[in-house]
Amino acid sequence: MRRSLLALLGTVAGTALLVGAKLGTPPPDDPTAVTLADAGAVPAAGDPSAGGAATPGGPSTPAGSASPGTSAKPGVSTAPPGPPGPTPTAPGRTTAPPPPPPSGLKNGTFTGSGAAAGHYEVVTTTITVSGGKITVATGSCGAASGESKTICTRAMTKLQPETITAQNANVATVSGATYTSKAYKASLQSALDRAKA
Amino acid sequence: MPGYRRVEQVMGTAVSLVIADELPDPTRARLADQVFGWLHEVDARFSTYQEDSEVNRLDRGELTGTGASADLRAVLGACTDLWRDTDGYFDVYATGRLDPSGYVKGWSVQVASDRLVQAGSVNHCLNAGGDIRMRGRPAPDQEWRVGIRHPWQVDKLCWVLTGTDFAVATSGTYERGQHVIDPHTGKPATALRSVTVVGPDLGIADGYATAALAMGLPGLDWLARLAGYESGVISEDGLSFRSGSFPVADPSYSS
Repeated sequence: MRRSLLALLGTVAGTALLVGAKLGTPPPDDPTAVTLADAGAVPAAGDPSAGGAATPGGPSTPAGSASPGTSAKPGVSTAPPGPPGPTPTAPGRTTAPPPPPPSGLKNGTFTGSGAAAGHYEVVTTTITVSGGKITVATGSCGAASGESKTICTRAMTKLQPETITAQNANVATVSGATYTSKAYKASLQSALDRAKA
Repeated sequence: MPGYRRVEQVMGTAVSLVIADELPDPTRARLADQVFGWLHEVDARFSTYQEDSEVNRLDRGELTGTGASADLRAVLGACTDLWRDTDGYFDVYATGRLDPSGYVKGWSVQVASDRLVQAGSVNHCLNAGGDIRMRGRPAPDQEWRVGIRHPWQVDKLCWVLTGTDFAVATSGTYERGQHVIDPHTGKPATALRSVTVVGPDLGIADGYATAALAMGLPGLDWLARLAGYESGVISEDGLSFRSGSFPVADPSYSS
């Protein structure tokens, strides 16, 4: 029982990690962006450009630009229907859309749901993309219930993902994976021992 | 008065001791003798590298369970508890033979620290190859500051912990390769780069850190549910996670 629970919760951790990883260093053409969309990413309410945005392989149209098919045609005087945004351009002229962000991520707010695993379903993650980079990622345990929700909530709030930073500081000693006697000679602990001897 | 310091090679690694109590140097030297005497004794009795160790004789069937020393029985009992508490991920038979080394080092350092307290040293720090038990203070107005090694940069830290009475154990793949085996698959654990566990007992903290490393990503949730032990984890893709009460120092403070 306990082990199966662990395995299921692994999905939760994996979901959280997936989003967190992109917080650190969003690589260009991040394949996980497609994964997230495949997993059911849906645009948040209020994002009018939602339609084709989350379609993997679809046109990478930045939010706020004119949607494909709505550009003004010569000779048509009425403004095309569509979301509020840039005003229609003059007939015969088209505005070049801004270049797609290098990551291929579309600006906006997106919510992804973790894959359901039995009744231990799972975590939703919400990300905010700005300038092609994920700027905010949050998680919640919305669909989970009962015991799984208790555990999920605790895990999500107790272990906070963050980006590691190398730092140097005045310390008395250093903890790390066990070094051999040989590796000790090159370690920070060895330097501390020598410096303070 | 500066702390009394000694480093010795034992149990295949370097052990660093600092005794910060204001005691006469001959007294501190005698206390250090007792610490290292004990650790060398443990190495002889429990190492799998020493042909005649109790552990090897028990593994070969030359020693029966009732013939084992009280220390060995205590170690094996604690390992059994860890096996149960970690869903089998801490397993003294993970390599196919009896090998309690993953618990023995932390346990022996914990015992050495407990004995130091009984002998009158209430301010000390004992670090065995990166696993630490510290007590009291390095100086009356300071707390011990423990750096957690950056898992990709040998001379950098990724966290600084502070406190006056706790154990810190780190298990990682960056020093000796992917040596931690997932006992359920028999394959090396690769998802987590570094797992640090902080708590009252170094043997248990070390066992928990090793088990979580073996679990991989599910280890994050397992660690989050532990009572009394805080954790900091760095995954192979460079993300770090820490529990809410992981005793990180205020980054703006450096004494």
